[in-house]
Amino acid sequence: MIRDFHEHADGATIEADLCIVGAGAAGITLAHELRNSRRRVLLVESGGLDADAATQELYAGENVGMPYPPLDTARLRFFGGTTNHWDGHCAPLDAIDFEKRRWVPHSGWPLTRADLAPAYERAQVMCELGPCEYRPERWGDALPGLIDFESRRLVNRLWQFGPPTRFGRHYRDALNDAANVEVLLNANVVEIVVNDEATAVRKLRLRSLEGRSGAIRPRTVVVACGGIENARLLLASDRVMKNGLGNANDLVGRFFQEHPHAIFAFAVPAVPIDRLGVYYGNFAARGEAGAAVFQAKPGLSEDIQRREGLLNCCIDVGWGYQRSPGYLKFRAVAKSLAQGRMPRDLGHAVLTMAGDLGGLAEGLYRRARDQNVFWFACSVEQAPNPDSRVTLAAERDALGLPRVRLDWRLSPLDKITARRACRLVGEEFARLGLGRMRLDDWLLADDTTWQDMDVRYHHMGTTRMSDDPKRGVVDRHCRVHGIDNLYVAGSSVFPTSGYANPTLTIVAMAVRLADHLTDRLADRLGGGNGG
Amino acid sequence: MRDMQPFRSAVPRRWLLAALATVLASPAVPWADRRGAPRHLRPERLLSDLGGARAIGRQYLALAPQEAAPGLLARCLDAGTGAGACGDAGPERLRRALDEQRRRDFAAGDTVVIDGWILARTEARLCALAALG
Repeated sequence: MIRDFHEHADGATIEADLCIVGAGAAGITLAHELRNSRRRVLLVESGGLDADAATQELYAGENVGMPYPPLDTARLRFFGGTTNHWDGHCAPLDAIDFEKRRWVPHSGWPLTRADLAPAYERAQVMCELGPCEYRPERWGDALPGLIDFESRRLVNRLWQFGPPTRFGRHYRDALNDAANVEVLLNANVVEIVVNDEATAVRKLRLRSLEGRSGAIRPRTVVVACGGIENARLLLASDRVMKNGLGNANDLVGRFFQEHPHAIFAFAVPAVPIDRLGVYYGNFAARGEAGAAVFQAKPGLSEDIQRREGLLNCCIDVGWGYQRSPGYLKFRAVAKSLAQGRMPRDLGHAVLTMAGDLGGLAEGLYRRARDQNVFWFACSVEQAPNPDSRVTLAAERDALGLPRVRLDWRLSPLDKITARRACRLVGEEFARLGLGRMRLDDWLLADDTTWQDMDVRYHHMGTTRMSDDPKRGVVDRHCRVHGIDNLYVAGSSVFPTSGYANPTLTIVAMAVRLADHLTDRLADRLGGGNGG
Repeated sequence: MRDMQPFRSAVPRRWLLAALATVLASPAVPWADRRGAPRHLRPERLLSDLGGARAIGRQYLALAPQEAAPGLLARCLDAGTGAGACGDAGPERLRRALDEQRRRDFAAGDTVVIDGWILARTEARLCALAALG
């Protein structure tokens, strides 16, 4: 059943066996996995079924570190969460991503890739992907054009494309029809209230933007609000624990990670552009394992990561006539018009083109002469950095909750890895006669600066997972250390981020958490899992 | 205006490509030159775009000033490719030897970055020979 908070009486207290706070990829997956059980599941969402400006504004915050987009545009606050604008681009983490690597401080999950393998299988289904098979050799001739890299240096990484799945839209009916699930819209959890010993959650305080209040009395709570908001809610719930919940060791909000992403090189092709189509297109393949839509990317081999002390990284390959903003904007406008659509923000597009007439002219000239280049961008794992963090700002939002302050910081190893990966790709392209690469000046500079950073809106690490309470906020089951019935779901629990887009792993971790909660709720309440 | 690196290079792309494309495509004709490069490695025989090659070579020598001697460069190239023997055996074998060495350079990461371009050490040394010529 899907209800609006305003359908409950003002001041009402709602009982639930499990309350999930946040209806994004993690929250919806959890509720979906637990539907049709005997446990009453309450999925609480701040927004409605569609976007709403006033609710979205609750996400506004301060950026005080590396340049970052406004926080109220970097995520979406309505049913389905940020899956409402993702591109369905999925890859699992690699085995090495879970390891404690001596050259990557603060690395290491309490899980292995094998532990997560069954959950990844189910996550593939949730994300409407093909079979959970990402090894290129298992697809054989179905993926023509893969480059035969020197495998001690580079390997081919496969990604899959979903439709993309809009979780809110796609799973809405299933949740609405589930007898044991209530989706509560337009309800904001503004505080997690714990007992005096801070060992258990007693209730959640609710407010709406219209001033209605209420409470939830849950047996178990999962906070699934997103990589920034999870930390915010724990930090802001400071009535008993002055530093916030789960924060006895000053870890909540620290280790914020993104996927730094920037174009860093181009290459003059020595082969026809479409020779590398599997690297820049959406490539439909059918093999023994089934069918899927793929894109390949060159990635650092595990071997070279170990030998040279690098992070994990893979490279996006694209092509075009020109990379300047004026030409790129022209291309976007032309594409819209060709599709019979008025371009979005045409005024801004015109201004951009007018401000880059040289780049626009160069692009048009090269287009007329059909002179393409390959371009390359890195998707690099960010080294966990305790000083890269989310804290609470002094300003409060319309609900009285402190806004967030994001201080995003990178480390030298991030750029060192990007530079090395890029050079390896350039060397391999030249060795194989595919083209000659020129690296951008900023990448060669021996500093930590990045140029024209294009972040991915991947927010990770702020409630990191470790079996040691001194090193992590949650344990291997995503339970907050020291608080018996409080869990966290989503990418905030990732200790490290790999290079892959996080959604598939978010969903896999939610599937795994659902299994854990099924067992745990059965223990706590008695009886089986129900039908 | 940002993002114009492809067209700002101090070593213009047409120079680089012309120079490198001809490094391995041109026949080499051995002839005696006791003062500098062995005759089979005479740059003008290997590089049709000498202007571009010299620009690249000058930048390489700025990075590796200890190699700024034709004889030394030639010995380095000979050592990598066995070009001395190949030169006697004919231009086609020399071309293949240089091509093989270039690939080995890239595979081993024995490369240099000149104005952003990634060059095999062998390519850079041939260009340096041209610059010294």
